[in-house]
Amino acid sequence: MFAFIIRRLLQIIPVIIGVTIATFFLTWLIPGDPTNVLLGPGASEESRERLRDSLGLDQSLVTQYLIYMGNLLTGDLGQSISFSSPVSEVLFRRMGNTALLAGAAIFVASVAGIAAGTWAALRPGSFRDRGLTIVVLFLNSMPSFWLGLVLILIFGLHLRVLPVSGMPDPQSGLLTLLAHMALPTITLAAWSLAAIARMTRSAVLEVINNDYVRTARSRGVSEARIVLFHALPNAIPAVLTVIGIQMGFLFSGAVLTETVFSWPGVGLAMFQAISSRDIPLIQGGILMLALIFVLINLIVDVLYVYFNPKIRLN
Amino acid sequence: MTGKTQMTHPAQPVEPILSVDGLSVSYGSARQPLNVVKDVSFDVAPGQVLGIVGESGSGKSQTVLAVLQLLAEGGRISGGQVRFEGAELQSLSQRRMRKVRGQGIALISQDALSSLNPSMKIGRQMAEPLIAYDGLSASAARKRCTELLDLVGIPAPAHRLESYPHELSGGMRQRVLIAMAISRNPRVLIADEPTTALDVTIQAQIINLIDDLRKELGMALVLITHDLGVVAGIADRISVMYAGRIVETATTDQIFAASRHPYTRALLSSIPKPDQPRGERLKPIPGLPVDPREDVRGCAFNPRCTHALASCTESLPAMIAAEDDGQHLFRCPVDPFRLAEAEGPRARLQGNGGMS
Repeated sequence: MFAFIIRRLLQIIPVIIGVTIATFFLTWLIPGDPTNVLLGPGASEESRERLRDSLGLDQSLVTQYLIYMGNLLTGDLGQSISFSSPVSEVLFRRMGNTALLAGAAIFVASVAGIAAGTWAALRPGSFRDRGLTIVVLFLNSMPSFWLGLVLILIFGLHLRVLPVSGMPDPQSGLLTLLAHMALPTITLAAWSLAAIARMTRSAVLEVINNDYVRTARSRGVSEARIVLFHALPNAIPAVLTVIGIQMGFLFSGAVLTETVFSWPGVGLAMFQAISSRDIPLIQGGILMLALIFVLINLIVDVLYVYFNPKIRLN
Repeated sequence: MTGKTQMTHPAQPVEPILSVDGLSVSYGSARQPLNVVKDVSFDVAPGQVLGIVGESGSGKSQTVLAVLQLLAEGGRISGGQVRFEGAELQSLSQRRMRKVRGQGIALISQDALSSLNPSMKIGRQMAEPLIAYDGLSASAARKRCTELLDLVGIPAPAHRLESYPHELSGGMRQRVLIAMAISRNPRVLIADEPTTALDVTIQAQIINLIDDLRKELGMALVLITHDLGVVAGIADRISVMYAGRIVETATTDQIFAASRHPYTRALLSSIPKPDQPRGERLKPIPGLPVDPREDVRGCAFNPRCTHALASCTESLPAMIAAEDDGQHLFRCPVDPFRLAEAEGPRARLQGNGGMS
């Protein structure tokens, strides 16, 4: 198991190189002169030249990339233009807020999704099974920002029961924090919940007719135990894969949700970076999201091995 | 084998522990049902061994599942009843039926690999109902499971409790299934093709093991198989099924010495004999088993039967008693045994194959 984790961690290196190449050259493709953004359109050609020189923009693209990678190795992600502080600092400060929101969302989506999917699978073709299919379709076809706005309208404007914007400072207590988290969490969780419920349903349906379930039944084991100890553990690997993928989506989905609810996380910072052409921040943000994605996949793979003892042999 | 009949005292009827009466099982809609088991009846007395023999698709396994009220989605008991210790199983609540399963009637299913939960250690699977329902502590259940594995002949049983099913050999997995089936001291053990997935040498070991355990624990045994040779040594009675129906039922000796149904006789003559001359081919039954979707009029075996009369294609032959004691029943108007008797000793020997 330990060797497996080390091997998987080493595999992250080429992924990171690939991601940096892609983001670096994609941001370079964005039209317009960066000095325009930094100095404004009225700046003199002389000052532009000086800026290009100091930022290394006059070097060739490959040299620029190598400089960027060199800085990256020392932990230097560059200077954020719009926040006027180091990119790593901007991201680091906000990472916790995003993780809090994404963690809450994946928790809600997993628990509710697995429960709903299992519940539907126990009576395939029934009223509740078809009901779930409709809800899943509904949640899947809804853009998250739209859902966020609708929730703001209902709970914030009409019912006036939940706060709709921002994050309270730590002194105001857990309850206030949870109240602020409620709507963004639901918004962020909706899509993943649908995907997890759908996968759980089909995975449970696939294992519930297996011979070993019949063996357990023939020994007098109750349906509740059969679902909990025989069906779900064998269905969970497939569901875990989906949860892993969804967690990756959650971090990118956070861009929209955090913007709608003004949640001070990485997503909101990324949105601001994109609107103000803060290229170092965009690159740093994408790199961090990619890293999180890869790490989550690693965790999923480890859990996968835990749930499927047959993999352990190889 | 000849001593068998005397041992079971067929003349003295014992109160059956498991009694199946006119059982029918159907799948699909009520308007277009697929009848896989038709009017099947049998009784098993405590300690008795009943062999149910038939080729695949003859409804043997569906009969077993119906007895345990474990038919797959879409299947239902469309007629008849199953009684266990006097209680009619269809009318039991889910809760009471769960008590019957495992404690009253236990099942050994055929494919041991797919019948064990791949993600649960052997020990945990075995112990689950013991801890959850029989009130054993974790350590007591562990001790019991070790004893059970030892009883079924698994070496280093305590160590094996920590194994996953895929880490065991096919024979060992089958032994684990047997240990699981007897773990709650059932009164009736149903073994559904317990040796199909195994090597011939292991097959005999497993069958002997099941029979030894039956004697030791005083259980009744229903042994389902497609192979008459498997039940020959241990069954008191044999019921032969064809296309969802019992076509002949008799004591084991009667089946091997004087079977009356053409299908039973064909099965017997397809068993390889040790004294068979080298190079002589085995005798297969001509034709193919009936597709349950097509409803053959009359006797389902008539398309493959060498004795078929015109009446066989029109109406289902009634069950006839071969002797006055009512122990030997068969469903054929021709009675090829009588026919063979009349033709002389050579023909008689052909139907006598399994005795050698």
